[in-house]
Amino acid sequence: MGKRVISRRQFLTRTAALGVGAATAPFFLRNGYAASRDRVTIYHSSVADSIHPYNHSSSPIYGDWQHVMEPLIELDYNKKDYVGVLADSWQFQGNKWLFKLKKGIKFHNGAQLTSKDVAFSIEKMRDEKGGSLQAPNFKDVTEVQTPDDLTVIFVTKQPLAIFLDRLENRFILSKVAGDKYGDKLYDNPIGTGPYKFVSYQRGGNMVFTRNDEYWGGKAAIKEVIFRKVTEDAARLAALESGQADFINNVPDHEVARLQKHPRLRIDKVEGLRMFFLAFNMAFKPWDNKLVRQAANYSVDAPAIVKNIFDGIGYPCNGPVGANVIGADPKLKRYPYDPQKAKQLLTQAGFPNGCDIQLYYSAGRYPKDKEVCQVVAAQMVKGGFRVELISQEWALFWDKQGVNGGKLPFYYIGRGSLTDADTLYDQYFRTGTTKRTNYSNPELDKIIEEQQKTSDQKRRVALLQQAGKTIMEEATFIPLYNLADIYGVARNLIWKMRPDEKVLGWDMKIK
Amino acid sequence: MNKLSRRIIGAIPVLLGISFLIFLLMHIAPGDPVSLLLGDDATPADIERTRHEWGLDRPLIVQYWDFLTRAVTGDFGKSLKFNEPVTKLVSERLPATLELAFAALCVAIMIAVPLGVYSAIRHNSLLDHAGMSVALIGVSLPNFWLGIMLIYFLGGQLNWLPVAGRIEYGIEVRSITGLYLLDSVLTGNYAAFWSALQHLLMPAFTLGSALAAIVTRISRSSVLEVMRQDYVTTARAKGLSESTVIWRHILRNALITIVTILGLQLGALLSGSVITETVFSFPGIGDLLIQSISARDYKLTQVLILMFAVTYFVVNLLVDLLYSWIDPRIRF
Repeated sequence: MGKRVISRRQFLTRTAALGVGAATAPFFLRNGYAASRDRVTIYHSSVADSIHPYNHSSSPIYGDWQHVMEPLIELDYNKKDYVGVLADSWQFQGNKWLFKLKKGIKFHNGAQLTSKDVAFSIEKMRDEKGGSLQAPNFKDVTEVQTPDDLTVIFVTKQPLAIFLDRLENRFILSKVAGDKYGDKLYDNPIGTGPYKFVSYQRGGNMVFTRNDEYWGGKAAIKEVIFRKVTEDAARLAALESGQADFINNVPDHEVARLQKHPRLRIDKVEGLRMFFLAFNMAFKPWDNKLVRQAANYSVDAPAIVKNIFDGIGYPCNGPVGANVIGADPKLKRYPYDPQKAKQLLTQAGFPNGCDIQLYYSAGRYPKDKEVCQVVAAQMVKGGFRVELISQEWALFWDKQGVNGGKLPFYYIGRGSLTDADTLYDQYFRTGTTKRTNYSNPELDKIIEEQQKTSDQKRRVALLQQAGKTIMEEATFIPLYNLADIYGVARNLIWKMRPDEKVLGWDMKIK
Repeated sequence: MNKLSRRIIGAIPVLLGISFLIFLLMHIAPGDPVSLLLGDDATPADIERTRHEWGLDRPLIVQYWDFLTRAVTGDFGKSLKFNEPVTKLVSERLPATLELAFAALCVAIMIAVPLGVYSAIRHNSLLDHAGMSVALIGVSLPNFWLGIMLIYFLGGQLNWLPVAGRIEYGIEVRSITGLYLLDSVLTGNYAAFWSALQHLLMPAFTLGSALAAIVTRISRSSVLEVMRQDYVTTARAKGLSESTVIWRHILRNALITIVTILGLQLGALLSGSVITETVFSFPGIGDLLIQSISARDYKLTQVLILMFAVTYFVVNLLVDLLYSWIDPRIRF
């Protein structure tokens, strides 16, 4: 080949190309680190999949809708008790719950909030054919009465102290809007909330704008944008580049790196999902209390938190996490003591150890596979020989799995656990589910009594009593709650919550 | 009756067979949409009641017949997960996937054909070896990995391109075809065009890269083969200019192989879109399919897979038609 000489024409075209490139480059370089004072952009792994506000039962999605619509009551995590939102006061009267609504609250369409709106919304929540997934919360309610504009009475089949827990995320829509829009009601969600609904794009954006006439005082942020981004790497990239101001589920291994970032901050809060190992007592050897206790002695939850989750987690001391209603600060978990475990196994008739299978659903929970591998290794020291079996979630959770009572021993998480009753009733009360097949009439009695008790202090005492029995009986192996880890633009201030809700009115920009 | 209509009629039993197979497989597969959707709080009684409400406790054959008779009238039912008509969900999302697939195809053609042809003409040169190495890397890279790397560097570190979605919030595109790029040009909305383009670049490159790698190699070998044909020697002997030989004699004849491969790969492009769309939160049918399968949303999954089948059929048909246009000797 000869000498490389660039022709005049080539020179000109290349120069032109360069020029065009240089001219367009600024368009590519968008404003970094947005965090405008008026707008917060949230990239979240879980945003409403449907514009139907009752077509889900998931905590982060309750948070989305709570911008627009409000519940009668909600749990105050600091007080560990319920506080009124739309309800001013409430009373527990045998098999009735009576609520008085606050006066003068207006919907976004200007209509006054009345008891009719509450009855209307509950009817919509009970409408399974219409797509609601929240109907089970009202299965014990026989009637909703509205004697006057500000009074709502729920009549239940039996006294039901736990009803407040079920009412927590039941949001109220405007009946006037319902009458006006008919079938199109859900395209025009009108509530009383601090934000008004602007738009919803499936799998894309959910946008809210501030309700300047909000009865509880104006929010600081004018516009809140949620975008569903399921890919961890994409959420991180968006945060680092300033495309997002706030992201959830930062992976543990990225925490240290992001903490050094000059524009960002990592916020951690103890989550409400509790992880544990459940025994199914219909299977041998788990029907034997000594074996269950041995298993408890042979699992070292603090070591798992420290080594697998880089210490970002909270081992349970007792059957529920410290933030849960009904937790007992006096209870202690079984210490890690493999020698003691071996002794107990021998006592139980397994001097040569015992073969067990541990089921889990790989990929469902953070690092579940690693956790189960470590549990298996720990249990071997306590005299168990563990076979690990992973199943796809749909199979694991279904009638052939956990819910059919088909798995003898499994690793699982229970989300949104705010009240110990939820766990005790679901896992340890005779006949509620087949998940553990545990039956103890004495414990059933305490749970039942607690569910009928309106006095919160007395109810907590009963729950603590139940917790003590559960620990003594070693009905499961409580492990830990993990931290919910958020990545936040440094100039954004927000009130952290343990329930995975991200609320625009709890935010402001410094 | 001509070949075209015969093929269309022939597709009907195939589609029926596919629909029955998917229906059966979905229902045989363990996992129940109701217990998945109701979540932690539901008791077995709640689950049974909801199953009954939704008609999922009826015999399979009754459910299938119900599906078929409704489908004939264009009613594919409601999605269990999204609680909206399946046709609405699919029609909202299909244009996004088509746009992505088309953009990926363009990326592949623009990279692969010139590179392949050039490598062939200058074969055994440095550029040829470099090009083939890049192609080898391209075909070996997993889609999702490339996507995540692009997100990390072009999105996270350089902030050149948006990491998720299809268009910037606040920019509206008046829908004509559903393809944002086309619609925004048609309506003269250049802000929307620019935003949609920015959102499309990384996913299209991710999806197109593997295809580009294959097409580069195929174009190269196809051109090499044609170059050795007698008619090329004849053309050169006639004293035609090199560019005429390349464009009119070599390329035209090499094209038929390239088109076949492109057509066959369009199917792969659609299945590749499932992963790419998930990584980039791109609201197309691939992303929808993943969600519907993990929720065991029978009706939605059924329709989506049927649609994939129809697309394969249409693409193959188009490739056949294209043959006879490129090479008039082929007749139907």
